[in-house]
Amino acid sequence: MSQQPSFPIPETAQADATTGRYIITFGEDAVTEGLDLLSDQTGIRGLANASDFADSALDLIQIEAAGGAVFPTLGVAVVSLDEEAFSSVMTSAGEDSAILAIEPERTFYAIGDGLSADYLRGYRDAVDNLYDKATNTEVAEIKKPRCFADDIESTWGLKATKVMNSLLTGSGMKVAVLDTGMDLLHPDFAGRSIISQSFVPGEDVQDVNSHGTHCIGTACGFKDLNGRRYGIAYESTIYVGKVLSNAGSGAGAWILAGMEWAIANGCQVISMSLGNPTRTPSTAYETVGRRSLQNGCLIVAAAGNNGRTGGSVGQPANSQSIMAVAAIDNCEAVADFSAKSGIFPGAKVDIAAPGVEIYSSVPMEQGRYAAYNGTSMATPHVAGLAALYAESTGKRGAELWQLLTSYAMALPLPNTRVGSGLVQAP
Amino acid sequence: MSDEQVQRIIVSVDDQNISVIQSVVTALESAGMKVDEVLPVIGIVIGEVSQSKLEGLKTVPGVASVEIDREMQAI
Repeated sequence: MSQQPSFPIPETAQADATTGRYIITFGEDAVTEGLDLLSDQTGIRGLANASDFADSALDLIQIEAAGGAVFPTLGVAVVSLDEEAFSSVMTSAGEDSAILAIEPERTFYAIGDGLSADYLRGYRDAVDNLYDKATNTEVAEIKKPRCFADDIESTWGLKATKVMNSLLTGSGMKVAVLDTGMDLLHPDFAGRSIISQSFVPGEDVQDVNSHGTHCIGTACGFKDLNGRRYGIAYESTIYVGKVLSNAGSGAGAWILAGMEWAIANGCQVISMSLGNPTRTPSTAYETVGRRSLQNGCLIVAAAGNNGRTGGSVGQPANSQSIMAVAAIDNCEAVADFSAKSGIFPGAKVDIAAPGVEIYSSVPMEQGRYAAYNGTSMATPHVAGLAALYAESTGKRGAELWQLLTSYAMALPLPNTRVGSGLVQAP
Repeated sequence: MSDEQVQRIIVSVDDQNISVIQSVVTALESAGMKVDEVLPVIGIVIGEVSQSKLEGLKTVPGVASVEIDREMQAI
């Protein structure tokens, strides 16, 4: 399990090690002007010029001798500057200047395994920066996204979250899914430990809607009839709380009663793929969320699907003590319907999970399986994974939350859309 | 007419009084709330009150907040 990286970074290296030189980026077609400006500000002239060398291959010893070098194709120069010179160049740099920017020249290392995301990001950004400058108009998309697909082995979501690499099963854990109930007769759940309760007046737990069965499938299901895995915590005990009617809506009273039931019964995780678009957090849900964490129960809720119309995280996910989950697609792009972080402290999107074209169980009457989109589909991924982390580490509540976010895979996307990133299996 | 309108409400009991929630319930009822459900683990009292008495519930000792019950949807 603990391997040594093939190309370890030297012990003495630091993430922001610099060489003492500076990289100056010139404006479009402004190399000559920029060099004049540099010489006005610092007196520096006579830098080695790559175009003076055969095949533009600079002899690096010449850089030292000349105090720096110009790379006219890239539109950058590398120069040695003392503090005073650096300050003068800094003040003359800007978006309207021939000198766009000046930054310290950093040391880069050949990379192998075991590097931090920061190092890799820094390296990638530096290379992207130079590439963008070196190529002209149409810069092709050079950051190829990873794309996943459903196959006979599993859904794409379980690949992207690395569930397929995990040996954990949710054994010993209790996962509550508060939703439209469940098809208790679904063959994929035969033999499972299931405790169910309806909180919807006049309706029993049996899911006529399909939303609840689908979410339960992702969080706690296992494999379909052909062996394709679609569920995460497949040995957990499932607490099915019907808090939404077969029509898909529920009163706060029903939902809170379901939360009480799940917490009183010792569930480690509650999955809530439900909400309303109200931006202002509810004191009741915030209070309940806080007490739930204190009771060792982590509540995970969908961020909301009104992202296309500028929506931000709604209730109850916008409670500070309730984890708000965003949706990404199979190429790790954020779903355009996925709600953004709002202005209230609790309204941050906390984490992201697969939420587009998610294959899971539905009631037999509706075809046994279906693929749905929504932050509702992302939420049970996080809930199922929370159960795996809880099983593996013994952590609960707020500490369990920390595990999920700290092991999430950072995405090249704003955290107002994806929080800490794509949830990953332990 | 609007004073008589009945609101479905969610009352949050504060941390100091969650262990004596029944006494808060009694006080809420005295202040005009019709209590339908008490959730002692999470400290929530659910019921109804006429619009004219709603604000008065907020001053009942042990009450952290009084909110209108809002519906939610599967998303």
